[in-house]
Amino acid sequence: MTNSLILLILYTILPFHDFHVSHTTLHYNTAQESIEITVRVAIDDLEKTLETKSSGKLKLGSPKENKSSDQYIKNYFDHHLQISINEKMAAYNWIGKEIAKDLHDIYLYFEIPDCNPSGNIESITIENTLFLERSHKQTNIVLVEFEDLNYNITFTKDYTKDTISLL
Amino acid sequence: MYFTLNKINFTTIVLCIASNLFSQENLNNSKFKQLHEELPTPNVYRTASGAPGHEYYQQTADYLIDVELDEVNNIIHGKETITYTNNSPDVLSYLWVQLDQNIRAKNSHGQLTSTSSMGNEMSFGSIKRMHDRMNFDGGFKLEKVTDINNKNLSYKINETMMRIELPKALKMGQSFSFKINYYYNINDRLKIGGRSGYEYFEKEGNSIYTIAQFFPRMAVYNEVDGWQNKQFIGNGEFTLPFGDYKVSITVPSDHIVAATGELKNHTSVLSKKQIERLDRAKNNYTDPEIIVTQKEAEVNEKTKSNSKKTWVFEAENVRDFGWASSRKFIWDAMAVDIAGKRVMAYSYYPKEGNPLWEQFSTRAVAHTLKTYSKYTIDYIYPQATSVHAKSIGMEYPMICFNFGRPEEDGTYTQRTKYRMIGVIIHEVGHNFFPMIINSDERQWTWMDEGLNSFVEYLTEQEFERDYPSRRGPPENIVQYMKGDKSGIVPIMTNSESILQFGNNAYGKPATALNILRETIMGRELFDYAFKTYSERWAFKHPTPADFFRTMEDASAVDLDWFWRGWFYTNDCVDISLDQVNWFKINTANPDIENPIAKNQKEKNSTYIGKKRDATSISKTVTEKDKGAVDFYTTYDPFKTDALDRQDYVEFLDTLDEEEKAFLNSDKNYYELQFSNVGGLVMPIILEFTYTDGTQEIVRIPAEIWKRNNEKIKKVFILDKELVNVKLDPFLETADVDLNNNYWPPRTEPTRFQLFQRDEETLENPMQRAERAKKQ
Repeated sequence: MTNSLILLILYTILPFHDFHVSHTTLHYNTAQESIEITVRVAIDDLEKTLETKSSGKLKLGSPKENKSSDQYIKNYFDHHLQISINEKMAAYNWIGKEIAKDLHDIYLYFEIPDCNPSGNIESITIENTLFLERSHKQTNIVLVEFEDLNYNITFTKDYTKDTISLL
Repeated sequence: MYFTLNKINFTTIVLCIASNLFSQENLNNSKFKQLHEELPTPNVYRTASGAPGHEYYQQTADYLIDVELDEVNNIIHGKETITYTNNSPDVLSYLWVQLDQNIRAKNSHGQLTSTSSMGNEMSFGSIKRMHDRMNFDGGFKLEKVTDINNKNLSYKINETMMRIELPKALKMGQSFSFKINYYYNINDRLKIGGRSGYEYFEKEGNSIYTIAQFFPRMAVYNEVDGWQNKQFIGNGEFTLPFGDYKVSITVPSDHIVAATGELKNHTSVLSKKQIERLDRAKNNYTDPEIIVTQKEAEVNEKTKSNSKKTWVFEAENVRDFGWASSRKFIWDAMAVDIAGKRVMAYSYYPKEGNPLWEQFSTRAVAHTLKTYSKYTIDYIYPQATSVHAKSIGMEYPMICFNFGRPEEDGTYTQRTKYRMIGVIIHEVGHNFFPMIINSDERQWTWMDEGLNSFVEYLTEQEFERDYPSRRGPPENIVQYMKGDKSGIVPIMTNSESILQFGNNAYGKPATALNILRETIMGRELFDYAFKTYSERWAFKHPTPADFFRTMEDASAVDLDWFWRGWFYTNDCVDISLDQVNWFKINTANPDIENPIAKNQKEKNSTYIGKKRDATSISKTVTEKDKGAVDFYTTYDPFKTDALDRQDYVEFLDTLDEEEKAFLNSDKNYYELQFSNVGGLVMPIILEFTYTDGTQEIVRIPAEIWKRNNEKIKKVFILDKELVNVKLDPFLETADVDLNNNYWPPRTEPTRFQLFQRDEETLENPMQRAERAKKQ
């Protein structure tokens, strides 16, 4: 059954010239002991993933933007971008959003405040399943900037979770 | 003659340098190593200068096609006669024909080789798409393949390629004609995707057909790849020979048809009124004239005709043919002056495209033809058409299918508007790359998409100041280039193996060309070379080497290092300003230098114990006991005496006037040390800010790295003292880390921090305008 299911699937010619990549930066702010999260994603990907019959159109960045947009985004990210510090799930706050200059992408900002109560961050675990339900070609790139070190991770449908050891 | 120098002050920033521990020292791994080993050996077909050689040849394929659209069953029925001419010196015993529709055949390689997996969560839409694709009976159904006398030909189909056995070997200069009858089911683009197909409007039961790859097409044969018969499996687009086309398209008689080429039977398919309007448009170079109005289209789409009409189009020297048909079409037209020749710009769109399309589509087409003609070659074809097609942008000769649809209430966002104009510029621009400058798309996506995205950027910026272009400016590619290397491949990667398609094949090459133009070659040298490439390879089949070589040949700029770094590796630009040392000339005058030396020494003796001793030890032995004092107790090496002065005078006597002037010039010598963290060698652009507040820009070519690709020092002789130095002040090199670009060191705020700081003022212009209205 499994075999036939896998064979069944999917070559995608999605709407042409349509490429699905998101970029997330987790920047550890040493002074504030917070993690600043910046996500860059195509507005189309975000809208088409979040819009349901009950939500209606989001119309992000337009004068008629859906008033609950921020809430929908936050809820979605709570489920699809999960971050654990020292193996403990960390909640993050919604800071805001900003349309990119090219009008194609949107920046989303979140923050994990006071994320270092023990004074020692040993590991950061990221589970990233952003937009996978929309396109199996989705690529989610995460850059972790921790003090002087940079870690780059590419998440795909087949690779959704990774832990960075900072010991 | 030597001068000694005083090092005045120094700041050291030691950064992690990615040193290549594994570099093989015995080989030439220089980033300036010439590309002889990577590029093919020049020959009589393609010269070392990048131009076509004296024996250059290309094949031709002429087509006579009759197609009929069955809109009830969504089927295309076709009959074609292909005349293939062998201009190569080789004898051909078979021909390869492309059956691109077969990518939608059940169990095609396209489907089987696409990796996939199930997620825990899949949207209803993506599951449904999956089923629709699996159930669709796509692909060409061939009814007969014969020679010109209707005698069956032997053939073998391998996926999207068909080999036809030639009854007699085809020698140089000989032609062979053959016929194929076929049909195929047209795909619903919105359900199963595709570069062509139809969009169904459920409310009224009408479709817009955007039809391409609708006939078996000849593959390219040349001295580069032999037959280009690499299968069509999805990403690598099309590689096609030039030829002349006559295409008769039979559709319901209430449809309007747009196509490659020129309409040859106006009177039998257009109304008198439409012909009159079209004649008016031919003389209107300023505004689009409406040929079919929205009102007329709205009436037209309410009924369905049972009769048929045949539209006849002809096109010369094109590499492909596309067309669109619908009873929903509004049609407008405008004349464009290209070097004194009239070219028509056409747009076809349904009411759903308005009000955006009537205002912008044809204008964008006209502007694109003019701008591209300036940077490449004058547009030669008689017309260029933009057809409205939801969610795709796809190009064919003289015709392209473009997205951009306002909301149902007729309003639209800034994003919809600019993306629509952007996609029209991009797809119309494809007329130049690859329709005219006919590169091999199956092999190299960047050769058409990258070059086209570059000219698209120039065209957008000429459409409107600060046009929100997506690809072109160096800062836009930074996020991609600093990303995880396991998710990046070099530009010189076959179309099917590219990761991050948009960034790799569109964004990075477009940015690279922009950097060549603005920073490395300068606009004048670049534009001449780029135009030379376009002129040399218009209506021919260029390869990457032809492009690389021509850009150097026409400019006298050695760019091997640039192609090597930007096109053959996935290194990024990260140059670090590691250290700044400041020196002044030692004047040798003891009355000047001794106090300086003394001062310097005292400044350096800052050990805390000594400071404390100065007060805690009230008197030392030699201070208390004169008997313990001798010459050395009070000796001051910095004290100037008569002998020092005499030495100085004697020293001056040994100098000529020029040397004396140097000695007293009071210049500042700054030694700057740079390291190459990212791997790409690039020019060093510096902004010096002096103590008096003035600034100066210094530009150093990339060749500064020629002997040492990793670490270099450079001395600047300056009249004034520096307060700070900034590397890449105009963000022109795509440097991925700006934090190591400053002296004294400085940390750039992150985007997050900037957003937090400016959060109060962030509001988009339309939101603000709305709020202002309410006040």
